[in-house]
Amino acid sequence: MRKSPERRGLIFSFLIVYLAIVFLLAGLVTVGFHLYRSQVSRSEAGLQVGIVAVEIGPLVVRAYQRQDSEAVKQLMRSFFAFPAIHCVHLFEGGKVVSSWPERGCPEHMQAGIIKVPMPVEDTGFVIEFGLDNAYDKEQNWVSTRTFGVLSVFVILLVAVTFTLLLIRLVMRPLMHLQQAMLISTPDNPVDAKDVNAHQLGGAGLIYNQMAATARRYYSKMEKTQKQLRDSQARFCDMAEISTDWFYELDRNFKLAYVSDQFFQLTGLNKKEVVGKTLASLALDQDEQGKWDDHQEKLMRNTEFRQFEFRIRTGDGRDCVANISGKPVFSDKGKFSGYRGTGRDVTQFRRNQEALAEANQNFGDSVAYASHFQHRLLAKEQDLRPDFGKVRFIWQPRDLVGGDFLTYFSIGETPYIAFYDCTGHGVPGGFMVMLVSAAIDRIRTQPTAPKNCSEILQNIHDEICDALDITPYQNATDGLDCAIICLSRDKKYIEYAGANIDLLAVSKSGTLARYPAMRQSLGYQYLDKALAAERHKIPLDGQCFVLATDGIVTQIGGMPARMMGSRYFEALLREAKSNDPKKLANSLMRGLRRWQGSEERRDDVMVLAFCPEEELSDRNIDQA
Amino acid sequence: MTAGSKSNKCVFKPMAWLCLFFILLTGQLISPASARDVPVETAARLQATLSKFVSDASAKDGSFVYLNRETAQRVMLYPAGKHPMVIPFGEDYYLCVTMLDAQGNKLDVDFLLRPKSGAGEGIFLVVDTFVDNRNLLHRALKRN
Repeated sequence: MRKSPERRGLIFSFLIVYLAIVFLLAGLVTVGFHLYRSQVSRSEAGLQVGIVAVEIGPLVVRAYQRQDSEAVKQLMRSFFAFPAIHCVHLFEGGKVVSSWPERGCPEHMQAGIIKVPMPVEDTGFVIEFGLDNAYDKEQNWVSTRTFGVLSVFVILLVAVTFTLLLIRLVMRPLMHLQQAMLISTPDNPVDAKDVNAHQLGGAGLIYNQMAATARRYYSKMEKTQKQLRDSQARFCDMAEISTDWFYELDRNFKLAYVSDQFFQLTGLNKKEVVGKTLASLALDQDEQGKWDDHQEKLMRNTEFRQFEFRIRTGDGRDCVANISGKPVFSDKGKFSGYRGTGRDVTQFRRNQEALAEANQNFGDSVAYASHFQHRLLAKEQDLRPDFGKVRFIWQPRDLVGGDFLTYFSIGETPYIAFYDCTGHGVPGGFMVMLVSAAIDRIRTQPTAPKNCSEILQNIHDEICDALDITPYQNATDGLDCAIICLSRDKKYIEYAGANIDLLAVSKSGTLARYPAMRQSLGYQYLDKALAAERHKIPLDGQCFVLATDGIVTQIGGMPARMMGSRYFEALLREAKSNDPKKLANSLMRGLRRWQGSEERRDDVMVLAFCPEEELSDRNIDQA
Repeated sequence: MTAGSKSNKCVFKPMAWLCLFFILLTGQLISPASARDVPVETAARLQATLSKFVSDASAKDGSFVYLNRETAQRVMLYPAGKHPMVIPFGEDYYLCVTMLDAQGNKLDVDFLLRPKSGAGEGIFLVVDTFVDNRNLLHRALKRN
């Protein structure tokens, strides 16, 4: 238990003062009581004398006047019944005529005798009563002593009771409260014991409430402080990770503080940096425009971001610093400088330059590859001798594409391979090369395929071979393809497709769709032959249209969605002609309209041809 | 100076004033007792005068007739006991007698006695009577 700084007990001091007061008061009250008792005694004596003088006095006088001395003596003796009266004299004309006791007042009491003469009516007689001055004195003292002792006893009893109550009800809770307050600390407020509802207990209750509040507050504060520390640590970690150094500029834009990381990174020392402006550290001060803009921002006290300049490091290297800063204002809104972060972006800039160079190289390569792809791509004029009027549109999304058209012959039969390989750009281009090579192998092999369906099967087999597609291993690469050949008598065309339908537009504008099998080539190994249907379609002046899915899957319209086949066919009808050029152009116009501001999603390729007309033209030419 | 001595001083100072107050209060209580100290001879004369008055004012059957001021009725009272205390009231004195009414109820009858002017020392007259009206007597004593 911690000792209180209070050296002397309050209860002790209070008790001493209390006892002094109550004993003094008891003494005074006892004196008062004694005086009162004495007064009462004298009054009693007066009462006895007064009654006796009025009631017995006349009897004594009349007996004396009858000269009945025995009766006088007898009546005089009756005064003996009154304790205050010690002796009586009957006077007539100032002369004692009778006394009781007969010899007069006792001599030993003469000094203490009070003589009270009482005239007896109008008789001229006077009875003088001798009263004891100390009448009832002893009794008074006994009463006074008893009163005094009782007073002291009662006072002591009250004092002890009061003291015990004081100790129990006041001092003990007070000491407990004091003890609790002494051992309490801000982080651990201790509750006071013995609290109850009276005023002091109320103080204890209030203290306990304060302690509880302090405890809650401290706990909350501790929690908040912990959160703050965590947050600060988190912020510091993140700041350190996200940046290389911190700095502060004073109101004259001179470096007032730079964190240690800056000196570690640059090898400069503080004297070379602190107190200087950023421009004075820069190697590229001659880039006047850049520094003027920066200075203007500083003068306007506005935030700046990603400002880069070059500095010379301590070991003589060039370093590119990238800094951001935010103005700092005092509570009164007065500008007091800048605070910000900086990064060493030297390596980043070098990488960027290298990447740009690599990108340039790659772009050049792809552009060159595109040149090759263009060379390999079938041209309209290549197709026209066999397929008549031709309109061919090839729009790869990038420089090279995955959509391709190959024109070849097996024997004397002309073929068209119209295919859309997986992907676009460079991967699509490579896939095109793969397919193109496969077609080359197919057409030159000793046992050439006899129809379009067999060609599709052969392409599928070649791709599976090239991409290592086995019963146990699938691939994510393949192609959609349409194969068309013209019959030897040039009366009809044969078509077989894998996911690319053939549309025929008659002279009257009627649209017919020849469906392809719903399976792509490649992708997965098949146990059985492809179920590609062969369509033999008479020419009859019809125009045939092939298109890759880059058109129907293009996102556009309001709300944005894929174009779809229905709109595609509507675009063909919109041409109101079966001229290949008009049909293809209608499709492309519709595509641009549908696409709007959306970006192109895939390569686009459209082939429209009308063999009969071309054949007729050639015949005319030959003729 | 320690905190303890400060607090003790704070306690003792009002206590000293409290002591003085009690002493003065007690003195005030005792001093009237001394002031009211009536000599035995005067008390005897007063008691004799009252006894004679009651005796003279009583009817043959010993009843002390009193006119009730509120009901305007004659009330017969019978002396039962005299109080020894004599209370000075200026030049006058109050004395008291316990009387019984016809129903046996005790009533305090206070008498105001005054020295008879020109009759010499020790001769008194009963000048007023208060039957069962102690409040009036207390108020009168307080005002005096």
